[in-house]
Amino acid sequence: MLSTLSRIVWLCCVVSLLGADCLLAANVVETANRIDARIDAKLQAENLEAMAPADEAEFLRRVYLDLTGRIPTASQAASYLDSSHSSKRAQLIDELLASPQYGEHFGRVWRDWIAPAELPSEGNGGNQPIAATRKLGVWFAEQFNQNEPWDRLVYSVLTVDGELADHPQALFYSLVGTDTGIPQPAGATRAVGTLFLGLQLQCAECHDDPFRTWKQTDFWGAAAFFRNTEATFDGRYFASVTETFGKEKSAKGKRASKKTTRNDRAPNGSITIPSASFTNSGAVVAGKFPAGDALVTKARQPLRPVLAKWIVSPENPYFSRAFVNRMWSYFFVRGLVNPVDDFRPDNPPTHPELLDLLDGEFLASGFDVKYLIRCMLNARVYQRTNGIGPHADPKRLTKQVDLFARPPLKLISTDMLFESLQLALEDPGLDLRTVDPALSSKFGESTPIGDAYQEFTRLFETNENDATDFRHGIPQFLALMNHPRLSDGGQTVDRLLKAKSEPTAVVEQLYLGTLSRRPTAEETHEATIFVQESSAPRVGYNGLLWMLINRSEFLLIR
Amino acid sequence: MNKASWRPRRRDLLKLSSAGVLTNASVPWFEALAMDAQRQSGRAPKACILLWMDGGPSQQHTFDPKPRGEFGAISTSVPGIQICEHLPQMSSVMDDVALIRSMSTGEGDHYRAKYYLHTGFQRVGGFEHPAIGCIASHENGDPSNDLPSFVTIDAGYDKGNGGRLYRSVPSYLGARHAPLAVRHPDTGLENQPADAGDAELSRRLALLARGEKRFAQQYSTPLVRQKQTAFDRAVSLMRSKAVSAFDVDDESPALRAAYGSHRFGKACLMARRLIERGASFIEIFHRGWDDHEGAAQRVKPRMEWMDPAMATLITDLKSRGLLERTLIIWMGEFGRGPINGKDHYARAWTTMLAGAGLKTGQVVGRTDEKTRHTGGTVVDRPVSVPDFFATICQALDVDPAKEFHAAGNRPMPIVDPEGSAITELF
Repeated sequence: MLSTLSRIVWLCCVVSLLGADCLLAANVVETANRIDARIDAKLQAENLEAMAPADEAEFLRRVYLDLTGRIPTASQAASYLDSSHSSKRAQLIDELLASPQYGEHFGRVWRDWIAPAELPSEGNGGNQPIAATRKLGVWFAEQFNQNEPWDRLVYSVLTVDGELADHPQALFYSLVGTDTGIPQPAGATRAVGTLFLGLQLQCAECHDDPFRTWKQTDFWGAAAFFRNTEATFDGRYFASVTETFGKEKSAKGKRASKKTTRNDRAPNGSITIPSASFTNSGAVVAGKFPAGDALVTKARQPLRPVLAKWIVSPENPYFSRAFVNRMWSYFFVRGLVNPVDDFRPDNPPTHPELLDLLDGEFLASGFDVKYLIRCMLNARVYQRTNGIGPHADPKRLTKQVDLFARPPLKLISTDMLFESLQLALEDPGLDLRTVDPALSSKFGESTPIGDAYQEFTRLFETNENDATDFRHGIPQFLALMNHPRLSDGGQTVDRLLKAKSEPTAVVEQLYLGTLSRRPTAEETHEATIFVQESSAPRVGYNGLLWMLINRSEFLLIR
Repeated sequence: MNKASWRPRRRDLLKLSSAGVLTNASVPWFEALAMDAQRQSGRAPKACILLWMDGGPSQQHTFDPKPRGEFGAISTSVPGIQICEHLPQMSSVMDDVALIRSMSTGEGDHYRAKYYLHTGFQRVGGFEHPAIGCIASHENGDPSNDLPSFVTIDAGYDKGNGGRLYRSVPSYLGARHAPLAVRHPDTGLENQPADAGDAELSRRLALLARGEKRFAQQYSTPLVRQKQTAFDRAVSLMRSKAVSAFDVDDESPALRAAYGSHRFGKACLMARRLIERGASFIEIFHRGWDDHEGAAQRVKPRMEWMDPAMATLITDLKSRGLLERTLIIWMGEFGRGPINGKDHYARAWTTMLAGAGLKTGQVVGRTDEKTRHTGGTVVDRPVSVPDFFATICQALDVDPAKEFHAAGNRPMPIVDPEGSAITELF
């Protein structure tokens, strides 16, 4: 890891010599090459061969799903595949990053990282946690689409102060740091460690961490920064989040009767370990930056801004690295440090020089998220094929994926599946609800399912985070196979039949609109025979489309 | 349990697993081996039906009535055991029931208690313990069965707020052991084809299979195999006779009437049908037992559907010879405060067990009968959550000391070693 001093020197040199804008434009290709050099050096050392470049169709579908959370339409796919532009890959990356779907998608990704979607139940009012996380996702989407620098974005989340209506990011504290309406410093501490610093602080909540250097006082020292967080609770989530301090808040709290905060008699800047943490409850712990210095504070100073400033500072050795590692892990399924939130000396990165490079670039760019993504995706390491062949050695495969010689095969997320099915079926109002909403409000009847998105989430969501692990089970496949809305071909087949295209052209359109590629000769042959043997063309094409959305290839990112 | 000597011990298999020789906690042949071991011992694996009263049912308005309580008490088929007057049918099957009246669990927050009473462990940040249903599926489930081994059935809710529903998570046991959720017993298994033998469907599946075969050759990875296996299981289930287990309309009108027309009764009947066809764990949940306005008024109408359904479930299983291998558990995440049942109460409350060859017809533990705050204290044989889970495991022939390796190579026993099974029940 670079020392703090050398980080600052590096930052100053790069910025002053080149100027940020100029640096960004010129540097994507240069940085992508440097990424590849570091990856290839390691492969050479391990005597492992990298896979050949992906073909255009493979790259197309991968980059669409990774960046916008959905497959391309048939016409988008065809126009890309038919383009003869020499730098069409780089162009496509830029186009997708500029599309609103980019922010929408990463807003959802961060929403799920912050708080995995929860199924509707009576206890959560049928839909509330999902509604809340969705709003947070929308706020993140706007930030990503504006390319708000990551440091400013995180600062804004952590220091949020005011009404939810004006500051949707206040939902962050509702989702990570609440216990029946009372702000919980422990939850916020865990989330900040995991999401923004790449540090697993959570074990130290209850005891000194035997695997890491964290003492219980480190955890609660960090939690002390959230001790004054005060909220009004509307029964579902915080309607406002503010911060007061010291004893004055109880007088204030009386006037604004609904405000809740933890009751802690420890002086400002320190915190009392609550009873729920099993050991040392009641002990007062002095505030301390995570893996950093002790907090020196005045009696009436708000503490969250102090922590936020420390976290997003370019001098913080964790903040930028945690983000670049998380983004790397998003694209390649493995981080350079794994798990992505477990940075510590005993868990070194697989590619230390690459981590330094990405970290330096991200800092130098002023925490420019799109720039970082462009560097990663323009590198050859992202653009390799992952076709395997019938006789692959599993050990070698794993090693290839681990060292980024081969992109991993990934399962598409629930959101990706929902968006992609809507596109493949040309059914933007895709709604799988079958229970009569009028019935569901009756006593003892089923929990109401608020809308189509919730129903889809209920049918396909699982709580897992690992894209290389298959999460779909029997109920998911029964829905995919048998739900009338999914097995009847949607609008796509009707449109194609109306156009009176040749059978081979219809087959091609169906392949392009689902698997984002043209069918092979064998597939075309098979499909045309299938349609010929059907009772009617419409039945045949519906069956073909059904077959395509049930293919492994549809559910996976190659 | 006698194990053939050539077989690796289960503990050894788990070590192999942690060493990376097996890449996943749920490896079919490994499970098949474990099942074999159990079958060789000559006993069918045990099953379990958990009747989960979400929100925390009042013990004094159900199975631990008190002399000056709001409800009266009635005698039962077991001399000396009395239960609440609104459970007449349960009183007649008390021979087959064991009451634990000394649950002492200490966790009074809804969600944390739900987690605790589903996993046997206190909830800690950043780590997910597998739920008991997933454990039962992993240990006792038959991987060759078309039916999923863990099914949850939503039996509806009353008004009232018991907070977020706990959802069973298999965690490191693998996605295969996640429950199949039935949203309503009337709907049964959702998204079944109108006709599983339909020729058009078969044609589509055959076309799909050709493409899948080619893809699997090109991408011979676990992810693709997992997709294809799960898909094939869904197809087998929808074509299997076992799928009729989800359709309670098959049963005789008399038996359906005995279970009752409430969703809970239908869910109990569905549970019996699933157990009969080899499922390992059924959780039926009914929500809304968080009776802060007082339990008496709210609990009485619930007894009208709960009493016949539970008593019929016990007698029905018994008449089919299934009760011996089926454990029934009735409980919530905690009990409720003495007399009026208004508050959460985790210090002294009651759970009910039946079947699984337990020594039934008895009461374990006792709460006080002081004049004030009567029943607020356990005076005999407190039972902790680890004790309770050790008991459930023993009843289900699951080794509570068996260790898994969770993420980060953290060894996790099935039950907290502090717990010891309630010996009086065995």
